[in-house]
Amino acid sequence: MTQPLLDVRDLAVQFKTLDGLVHAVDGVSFTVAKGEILGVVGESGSGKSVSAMSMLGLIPQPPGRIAAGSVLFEGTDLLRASKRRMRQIRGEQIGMIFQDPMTALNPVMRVGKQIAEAIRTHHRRTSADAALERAVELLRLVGVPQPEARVQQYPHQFSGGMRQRAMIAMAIANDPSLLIADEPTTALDVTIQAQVLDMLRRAQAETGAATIFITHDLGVVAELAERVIVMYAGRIMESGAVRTIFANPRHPYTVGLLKSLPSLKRDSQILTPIPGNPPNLLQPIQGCPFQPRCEIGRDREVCSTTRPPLADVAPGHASACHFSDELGSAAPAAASTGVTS
Amino acid sequence: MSLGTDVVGPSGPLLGEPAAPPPDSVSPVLRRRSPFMLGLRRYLHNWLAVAGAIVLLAFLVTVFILPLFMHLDPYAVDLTHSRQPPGPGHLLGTDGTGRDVFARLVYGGRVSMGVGLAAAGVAILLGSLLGAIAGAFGGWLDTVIMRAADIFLSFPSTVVVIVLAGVFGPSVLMLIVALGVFEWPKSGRVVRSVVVAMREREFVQAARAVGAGRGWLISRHLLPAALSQIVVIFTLTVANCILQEAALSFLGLGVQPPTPSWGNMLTDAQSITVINSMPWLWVPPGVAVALMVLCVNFVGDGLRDAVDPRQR
Amino acid sequence: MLIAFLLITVIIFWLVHLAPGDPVSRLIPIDEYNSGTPAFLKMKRHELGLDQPLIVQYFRWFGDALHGNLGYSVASGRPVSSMLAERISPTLELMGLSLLLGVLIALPLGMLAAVRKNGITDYLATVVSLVTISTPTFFFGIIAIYVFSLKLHLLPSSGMSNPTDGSTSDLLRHLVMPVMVLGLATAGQLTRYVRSSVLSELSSEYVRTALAKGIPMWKVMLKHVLRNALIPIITIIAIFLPGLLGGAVVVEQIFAWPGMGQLAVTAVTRQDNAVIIAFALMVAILVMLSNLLADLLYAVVDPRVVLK
Repeated sequence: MTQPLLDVRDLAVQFKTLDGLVHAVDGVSFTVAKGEILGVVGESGSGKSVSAMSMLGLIPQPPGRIAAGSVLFEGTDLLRASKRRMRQIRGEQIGMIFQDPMTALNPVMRVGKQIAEAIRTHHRRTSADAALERAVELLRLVGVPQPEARVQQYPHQFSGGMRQRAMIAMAIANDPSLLIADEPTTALDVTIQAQVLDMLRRAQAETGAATIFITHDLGVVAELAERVIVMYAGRIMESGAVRTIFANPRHPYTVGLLKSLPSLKRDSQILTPIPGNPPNLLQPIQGCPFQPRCEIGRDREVCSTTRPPLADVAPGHASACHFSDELGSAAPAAASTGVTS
Repeated sequence: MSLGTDVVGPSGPLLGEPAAPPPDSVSPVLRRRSPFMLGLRRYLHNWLAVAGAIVLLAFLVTVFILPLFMHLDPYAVDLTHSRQPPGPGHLLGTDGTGRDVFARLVYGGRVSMGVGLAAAGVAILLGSLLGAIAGAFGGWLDTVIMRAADIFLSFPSTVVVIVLAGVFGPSVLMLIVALGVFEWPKSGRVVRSVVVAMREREFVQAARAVGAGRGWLISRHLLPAALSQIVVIFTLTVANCILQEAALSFLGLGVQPPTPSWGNMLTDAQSITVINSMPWLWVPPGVAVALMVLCVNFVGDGLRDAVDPRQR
Repeated sequence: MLIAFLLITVIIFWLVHLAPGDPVSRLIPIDEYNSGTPAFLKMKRHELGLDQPLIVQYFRWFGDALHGNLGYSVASGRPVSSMLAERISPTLELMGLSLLLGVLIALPLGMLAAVRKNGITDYLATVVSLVTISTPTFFFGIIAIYVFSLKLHLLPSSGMSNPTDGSTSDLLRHLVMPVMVLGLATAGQLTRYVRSSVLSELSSEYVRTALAKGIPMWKVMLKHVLRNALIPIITIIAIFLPGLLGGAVVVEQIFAWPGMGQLAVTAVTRQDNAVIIAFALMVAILVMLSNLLADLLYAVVDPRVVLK
């Protein structure tokens, strides 16, 4: 087994608030191999964005706090690296794509200049003209029409999809080995989403970069990712290959998520959401965070007292559930009658 | 801006929606608090604001209550004892015509505060009215009023009073009206934006469906919502008006002697001799104005931070 | 905009019309007025159109003003326009330099306070700016005179220059205190605006994007945040200009600075109506210009805004 590109171990991030300490990320471990596309799925507040941002050191340290863990990237522990080293890595070895390109781009700076900035920050000797030329090339690469003209325009003159492409161009400008995309399609129309996803896939194929794709949309994950981790309340519930997880989910939360997806195949007219609400992250949770809403674990004491470890249920497929064997072993697909609602 | 308040939680993009509290009994921290208590708690965290409030209270007590206990006559002229340094009988000495400086300081406080409060009152009333009209009726009326607000906002009231004083002669009433008339834009803007925001909200539409008239809506729903912000603006306006009155009285265009005002007590200080050798004439009123306005500003800022849910 | 200006001129004219005193006295040189016989004055009254309806008088007055004829000062007998002309540049000098000083102090201070929010720098900056705002400018002036002129004997306490010594260093020495006082007052006001503008930009997403590109924080501040934060600040400064004039009036009085403000204040005591009206007109023009400037600047500085 070759060394993974990224090795996250027991990451824990907390936020100090007026009301107490919020445990946003509570013991998260996963790896990303070279060139792999990993999907990170979860609802709002599941800690998926916080995990990614804390890896790059983008969480403001008061009120945020990295409570524990290590993030090994190509040998360096990102959580303990010097500021200088982090600045080197950011934008060059790790590129980031943010959710809302309208606010993520500086509104008063020309798009070309912003892309060129990414290049010149890490390649000091590049002249402004050379960097701009490269920016034009990059825009062409990501499918922005008339890049020579576009490069001189401001973000508000771009459409939503084009802005996101520009962000992608900025992120891959220095040929990073890891791309982190934080909900890149959430702020876009569905039709544009498909285009941007396609773009991302191509960008990844061209550069060979590993990608962490964060989203709350299972459908998007199914299209793009090879492996996926499912997060809830700051912890990983399940992880494995996309096909396996979709076909054979082994965690009640994943099952619930898949069931709540509207499907063209199933004939029901009723959507089945997961009942209940996500837990309050102000309290450290002793047992399983999903327990109050879980069919299997609702009345089981072990689920509320002991934290279920993320354990392998099959090679390359892990689930954090005490009773994962009660799931999925029999019926395939989410349309199973396995768990009554 | 807030000083000394606790750090607050992460902003939107990092952490999603706050979780709903679990249905069972929870820690006291999550019990529902009234907005007033929340605001009060935030205010009390801001020690500058609290200090300001205390000192302000002390000022008010001194200025309004003290004369009931001490014999103070700001008008008694005594030319044989003019320009005396502080000593027996005159806590802060005497001025050019032998009047007791301390007495004038205390009574001047009443005048300065009174003018400040009155002018701010005029400003708030005018502003609320115009702002409500602009917001409720919209259209060209709105545009006109808002443009007027821009212009009034940038016009320096000092200059206006100069012109008015030149034409009509200085008077306190004119001062109050002039100051008030030029401070209305701030409250006007706030009231207008509240009205505009409320206009679209469902409960307004629901109330109108039940047959509520515009006037009722304005007084029962819209104004209370704007109230907290208006209080903040009122406080800050008072501070500004006291300052303006002082400047104008100093120039001789505001409160006229023999009525004492902190501003006109400083008019004497335009002479080098006074500045140099009679500090008791100019230091107390100057410090009084500065301190009073500072306190009101602290209180106003504290109120604003307490009332504004966003972190500053 | 133009309508507003015209409205203001109408108001000014109407106010002047209400003023006590014989209008003729400010429309012809004072000597002529004083020595004129009643018949002469009557003829003048007719000549100047003072028996015409108000509207006509307004247009006449406005037309005269446009031609530079602003009447005569009863105090000095000189035409008001020439009095104003010699007084404008000292005031502009004072205002300009004070604004410069104010901005030079407020920008870095406000930025620093925003970046180190709730830290010592922020705290100090806020307190200092509040104290500066709360203290009346003239009191500042008096204290400055006390300290620098009377106790330290460093700087002259009044005037623009020493009549016997017109050297540059003398001019500079006279300039220091007025500019310092007005500049500090301006800085106090501006710092809060700079701080809040920078603060609101700091929490923007593009700051995070820039940091994610590996740009050091100080560069992000200067190249990204400042460019955005300056947009509202510039327009605020433009709107602030008339207020600066108000401050200048007071400072001129304290330091006997021979500018427009001092002229206006003395005119009030002497009931010199012609001067007062002319002053009002100047201020109205300044207000209009600064509002216009603010609109223009906004369009220039913010690429998202389209000029109409």
